Amino acid sequence: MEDKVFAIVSKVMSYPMSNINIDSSPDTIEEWDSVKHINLMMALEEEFDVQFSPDEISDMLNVKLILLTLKEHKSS
Amino acid sequence: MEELSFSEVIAKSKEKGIKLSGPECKIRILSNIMCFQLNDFLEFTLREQGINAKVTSGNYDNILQDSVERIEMSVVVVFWELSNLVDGFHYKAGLMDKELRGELVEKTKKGISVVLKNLVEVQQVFFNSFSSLVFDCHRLDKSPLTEIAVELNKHLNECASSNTVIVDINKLFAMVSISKSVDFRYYNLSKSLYKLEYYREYAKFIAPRILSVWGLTKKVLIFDCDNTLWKGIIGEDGMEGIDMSSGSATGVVFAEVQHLALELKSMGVILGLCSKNNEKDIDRVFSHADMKLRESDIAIKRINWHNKAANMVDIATELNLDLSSIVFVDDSDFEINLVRKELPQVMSIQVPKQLSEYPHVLRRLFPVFAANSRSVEDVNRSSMYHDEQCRKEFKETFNDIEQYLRSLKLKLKIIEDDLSLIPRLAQLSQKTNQFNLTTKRFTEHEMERLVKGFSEKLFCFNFSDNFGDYGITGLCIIANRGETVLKYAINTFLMSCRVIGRNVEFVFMDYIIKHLLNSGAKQLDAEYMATTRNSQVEDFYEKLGFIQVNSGTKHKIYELELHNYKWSGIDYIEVENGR
Repeated sequence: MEDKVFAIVSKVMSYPMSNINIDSSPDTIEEWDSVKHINLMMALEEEFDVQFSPDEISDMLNVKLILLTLKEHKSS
Repeated sequence: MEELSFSEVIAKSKEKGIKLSGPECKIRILSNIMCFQLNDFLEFTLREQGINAKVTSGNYDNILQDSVERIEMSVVVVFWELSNLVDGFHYKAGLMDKELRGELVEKTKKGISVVLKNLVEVQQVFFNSFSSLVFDCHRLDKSPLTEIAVELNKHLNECASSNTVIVDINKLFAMVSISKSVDFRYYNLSKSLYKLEYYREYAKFIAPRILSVWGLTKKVLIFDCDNTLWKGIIGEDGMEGIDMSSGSATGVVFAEVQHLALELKSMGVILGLCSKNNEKDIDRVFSHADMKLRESDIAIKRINWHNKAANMVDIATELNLDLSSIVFVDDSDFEINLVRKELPQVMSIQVPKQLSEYPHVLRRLFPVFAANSRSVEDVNRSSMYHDEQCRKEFKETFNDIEQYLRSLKLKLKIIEDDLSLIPRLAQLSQKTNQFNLTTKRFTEHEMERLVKGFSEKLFCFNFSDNFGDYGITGLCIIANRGETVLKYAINTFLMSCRVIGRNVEFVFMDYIIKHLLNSGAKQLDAEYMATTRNSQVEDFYEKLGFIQVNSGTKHKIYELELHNYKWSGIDYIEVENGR
């Protein structure tokens, strides 16, 4: 799952895959603004076939949290 | 084809963008909602077709101001959402004070006018229709929101100039479904109303028009033959074994496809064949009773055993057109994949495995060709060309009508002085109002006297075409003027409205004049008496060469020297003498 999330973040942010890690966030990736964040959320929902809650969408502001939230959705 | 995911669309679009050169197609999206995802889908869809598209967005909810100075843009797309006319309008509209609502609508209408005026120099504007469907599609009555949408759309239609296409977003809702189109989680969070699927379809919906503005419209439609224009393989199954009959469940699919192909041809699309077959076999199929396409409909043929990609190149060269203007339809995985791989510029369409879907696949292609007829529509709108267009249309309509009538196998059976028809003839005289020169009404008794007498002659006709028989639908009563056998007068000339528009009246009159000439007549008098219903025949006699001898318009009196009669020259109505 990790690789897939990295790849999606990379494509949506147009940011090199090799520079992405679990701590990547709007602080480390300049392109990750509010618009790109919505794009990322929509892309993740599409690829993993899940629906985040509005709170989750607002809170998933780094790759670690994204992975955690996805795992929660997938296990429930 | 498998759809790419959003992240793949973003990546592929970027990849293609780097490779593309050529003039940039600058596109700006103006909106009162957030719709950034459309940028990626639109860029991707256009870049895939070779357009160096660059899509940017205006500021959020700033359509009016953003519409100023957009002249350098090639394309502007306007998303003006009803739900956000003012914040929360979709739920506030129902309770809103009528006066306030009216003011808001007026303000929006003014805004629309200003925006369209500001954008008038832009090559192509797409302006979304206003829709309340998301909020009230379940309501049988008209919601306040619907009423507002209707009013705004009416205004939008009135203001739109020829560079503007109004995008009917209700069609998109129908294609995508409302639940797959909108997502209120994102709307409530960030005013992002629409979902990815909606933008994917939206981009595909408007792209053909942008392609045509960019001069990249499809012009040629090339069909394989076996299992593409008919069911079966002519070389193996023979003439009896192939099926394209509208009477069979499988054949009807191919009958429909052939009809659609002809419809495209009528829009200016060039039709061609490319098939691995013996040319003689294919030629023979054109004489098949169910074959709708004629040999003359096919502008270019490559019936041989060469590789189809090579044939496509050959076709493009012969037609002196770019490969990207070709659409190729084939049932074979092998051929489709070969052409897709060798010539990605050619749009290759495979006949779907579920055959009943095949006509629908072809229908979805109409927009990529439609640009051919669109230029006519544009010319039509410009008043400068309007008059010329009217003349041309009149001529075209005339030609079409004659062609159409010719195809109908019209048949006129003329019957003279028949007693058995008296009830029907009396009824005709009573009921006919529109095509009736004198509107004289006769009872059966009076009609019988006319038929039996010596001074009147009755002609009537039975009319039929290949759709059916219309029965006795026309009547003419000729009276001998008494003083001399050389002079006659038309007492009644009428025709049922069911047969109007087929030029029967002229052929009927030809017959009567011929009859009079044969009996030695020299002159025929006639009259037109105006009623509230018969103005369509007020100049009927003028057309035939009759001269009006009085000065009235309500009651015109005519004379005709029979040698001055204008024969119709119509040869597509068969005349038969019933007696």
